[in-house]
Amino acid sequence: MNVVVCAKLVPTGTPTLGPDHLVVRSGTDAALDPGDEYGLELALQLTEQHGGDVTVVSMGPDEAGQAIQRALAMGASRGVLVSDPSLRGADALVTARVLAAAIGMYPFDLVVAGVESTDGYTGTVPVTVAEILGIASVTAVRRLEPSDAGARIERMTERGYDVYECPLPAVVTVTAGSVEPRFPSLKGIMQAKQKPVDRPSLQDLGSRDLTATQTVTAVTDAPTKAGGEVVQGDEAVGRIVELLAEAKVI
Amino acid sequence: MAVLTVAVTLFWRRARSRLEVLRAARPAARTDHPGERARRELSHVLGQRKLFQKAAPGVMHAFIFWGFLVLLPTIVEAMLAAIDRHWTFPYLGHVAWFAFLQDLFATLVVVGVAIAFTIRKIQRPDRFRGSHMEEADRILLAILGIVTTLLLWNASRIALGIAGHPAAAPVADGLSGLFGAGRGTEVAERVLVWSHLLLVLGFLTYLPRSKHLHIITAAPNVYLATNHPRGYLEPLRIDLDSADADVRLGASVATDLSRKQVLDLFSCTECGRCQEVCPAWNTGKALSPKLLIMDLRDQVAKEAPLITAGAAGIVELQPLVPNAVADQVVWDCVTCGACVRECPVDIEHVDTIVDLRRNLVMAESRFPNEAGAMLRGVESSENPWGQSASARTDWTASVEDIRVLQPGDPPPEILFWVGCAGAFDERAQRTTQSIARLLTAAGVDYAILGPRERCTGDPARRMGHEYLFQMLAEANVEILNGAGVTKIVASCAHCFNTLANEYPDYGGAYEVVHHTELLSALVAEGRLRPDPAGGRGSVTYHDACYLGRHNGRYDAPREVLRAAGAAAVEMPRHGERSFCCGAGGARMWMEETEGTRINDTRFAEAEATGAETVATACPYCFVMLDDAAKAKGSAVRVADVATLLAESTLAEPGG
Ligand SMILES: Cc1cc2nc3c(=O)[nH]c(=O)nc-3n(C[C@H](O)[C@H](O)[C@@H](O)COP(=O)(O)OP(=O)(O)OC[C@H]3O[C@@H](n4cnc5c(N)ncnc54)[C@H](O)[C@@H]3O)c2cc1C
Ligand code: SF4
Ligand code: SF4
Repeated sequence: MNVVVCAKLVPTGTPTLGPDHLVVRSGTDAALDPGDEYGLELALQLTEQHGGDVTVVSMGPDEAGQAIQRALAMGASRGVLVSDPSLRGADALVTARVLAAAIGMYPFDLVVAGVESTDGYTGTVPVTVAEILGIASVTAVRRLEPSDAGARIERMTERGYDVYECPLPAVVTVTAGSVEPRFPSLKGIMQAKQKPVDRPSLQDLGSRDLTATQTVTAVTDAPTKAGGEVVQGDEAVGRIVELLAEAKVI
Repeated sequence: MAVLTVAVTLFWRRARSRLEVLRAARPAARTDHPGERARRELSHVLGQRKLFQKAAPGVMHAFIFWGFLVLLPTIVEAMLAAIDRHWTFPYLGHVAWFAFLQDLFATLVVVGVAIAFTIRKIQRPDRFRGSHMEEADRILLAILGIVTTLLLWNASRIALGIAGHPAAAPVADGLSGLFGAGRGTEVAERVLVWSHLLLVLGFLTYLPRSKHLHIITAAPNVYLATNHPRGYLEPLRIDLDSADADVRLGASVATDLSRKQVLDLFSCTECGRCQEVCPAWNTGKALSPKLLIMDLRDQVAKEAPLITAGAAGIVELQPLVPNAVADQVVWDCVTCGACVRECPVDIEHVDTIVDLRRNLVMAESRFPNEAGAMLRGVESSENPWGQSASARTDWTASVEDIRVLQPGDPPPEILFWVGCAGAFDERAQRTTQSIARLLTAAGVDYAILGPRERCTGDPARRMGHEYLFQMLAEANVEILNGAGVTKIVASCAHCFNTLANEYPDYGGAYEVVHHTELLSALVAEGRLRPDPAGGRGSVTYHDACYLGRHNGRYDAPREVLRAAGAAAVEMPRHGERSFCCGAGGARMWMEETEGTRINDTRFAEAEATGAETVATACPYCFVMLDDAAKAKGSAVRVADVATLLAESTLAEPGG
């Protein structure tokens, strides 16, 4: 089973916004999104048990190469980095288009992504990728095994989990904590440097609408909540009733 | 002559295989400071200092060992006499004092062997569990045979009137009564000298394959022992940019061991002194330092032909873990160094265990799952707790006027190295606050690095992740040197050890003191004036391994406690023989499921002294013992030495 894993580089500290109101992604401390390590681990376990290779795909600045190196050190066999200045500030839709085009260049039976990224957390990229590729998607997966129909998938719900039989290829997003991501060995880190990392250009990806289309015009801080009023003592009950009436709750 | 040639050839053939294994091992640079090494040779080997750590076994061994030294020339004397009974040494063979020494020491050896059998057969201490008992018996019997034949031979010579000074050899003289003066004694004399020689030569050929090889290997092993404080680990430099994927990452197979490490294996006498003090073994874990050394030795011996066959054989070597020792054994160790301290032949178990870990972690990524969180935290957040750097100063909120050293600031007289535990662990923060308040009260010019401080790398290093340690050490040294720091006070025993002993290898040479040393000096100078009637009650002090045994700091914490008005009581195991709290060697970050818990064992020992307070001087010990106290619901309080001093010194100790 060949698996493509989507891996995003995210800032590790508190992200800062640049003059263009976009997150500063170059030259800051960043790492492979910890949420993506679960998907990667699941993919590695699958290919270790059932054969096949893991390819990691990332879109981002050159630094996203670090996220790919980490994934290669953990055991993925090939990296794919799409990096183009025109993609800076790409929204979730463009990100999904780019990733779908890149994934389409490689043979795959399964695409694995995180449920939502640690920095942008729209949680929409993976399902959009599935839509563009025209394949099924299952979110919040905690376990996956190959089956006659394709894959037997356990999907987390609020109460427990549902079991799906899903045809392959498909896109799945993996929940945190479902597997224990491995800690890469130093041997792995060294071997990672020898592994291939493809850097397809936007032309290679072949599709037209692959540039960031939105500009951020302004960013405002969320209003801080006012201090609130602490009511104490004997008058408290009366005051609370008053306040509730003011708020037209009673 | 023929007998001699056969024996020597056999001995040489067998010894050579051991020598070749040694030659194939990694060279160990252990010949610096010959003076210090020679002094150790005198005290540990000739003086038998470490053997006397146990009284009866010490006397037993010293008798046999000294006897062996004195009787060495006798072997040549017997050889001469075997050819012609009137041949002997030109001078030695005729003087009374030599006859006396021979007689005395041969007798002492007999006494030694008798003590040995008493210990082994009647006392039967647990430390021998797992040792080769029959082999030891055989060796003792051989020794007994060698000296009794010697005594009897001398007796027969007295009876025959060949010996010059019968009065100088009272034992042999007494035994000479057994012999007449006739033809029978002449035959007996021949038989005795030959049996003496054959026993000696037989023993020689048996040596290289037995644990008794230590009579040859122990002396060089002691000479090659480390000169560093025991807490020091030798660096394994890793340069990822120039390294290819085959670089040696710790010890995987026999040939990855250094010559000292291999010589260690060939020097072990299976005495079990290390096993007897090991906190892991004593609490029912799989690890025994003795069995570890024996198991590694057996695999190296088994693979000797492959090792000496050169490159072709080496590819067939089996990994030491899990073939010789199980994974769990490697992870059970708290690196407390009790074994190394006890070992009479200076075997360095901890270095070998860490080398095995290095390979498991860096090459195989194979280690107890739960420790991954610590490594991840150290890797991405530069502290084992995985907290953000900005939280390092959270503890200062309730302490006024803490100077956080900013880039470009003039350096303080002393940099207070808070350490990750001291910064992030809620309980350890109290110690940090006490130290800060005391330093302020004493008017010490100090500052902290705040968010620019990183983990020293100790937990990663003891866990075997040398590369992570190296990166942290280099980064910390850069900050410290850049800030012009010359003197550091550390509150964590592990930070203290790493900063003082290990950072010099990375270009960081500072004067490092532990907070108990600094506080004790401030009290002595009168800059801190504790109220001696502070009523601290009875306190028992727990020596941290990395402060005490690893670095020889025993007095300062006790002086501070005394100044704080505490009535000190000692636990049975204290000072150099203190028993670990269970947190060292990155065990703090691993679960302890087998046997009883080390911290519970230690706390019970502290509680049994009847002390009202257990004082610690390291945040790891503090947390471990405090956990044990809470788990037991004990009324005994656990507190750092600094907290106790603050309470009897400051009007508002806080915390
Ligand atoms: C503060 C902030 C505000 C933003 N506001 C908006 C906005 O309002 N509208 C908008 O459209 N975009 C916005 N973006 C941009 C957007 O979040 C990301 O740039 C875009 O990739 C969406 O992905 P996500 O991080 O939400 O991904 P999610 O859908 O949350 O990510 C789920 C998974 O998809 C995969 N994935 C996501 N991105 C990548 C990638 N680049 N490379 C490889 N795999 C990936 C990963 O496996 C990830 O775990 C914002 C970003 C930030 C940081
Ligand atoms: S260092 Fe301590 S725990 Fe480790 S083997 Fe030696 S005595 Fe046992
Ligand atoms: S390692 Fe040292 S202390 Fe332990 S059994 Fe061997 S010789 Fe004795």
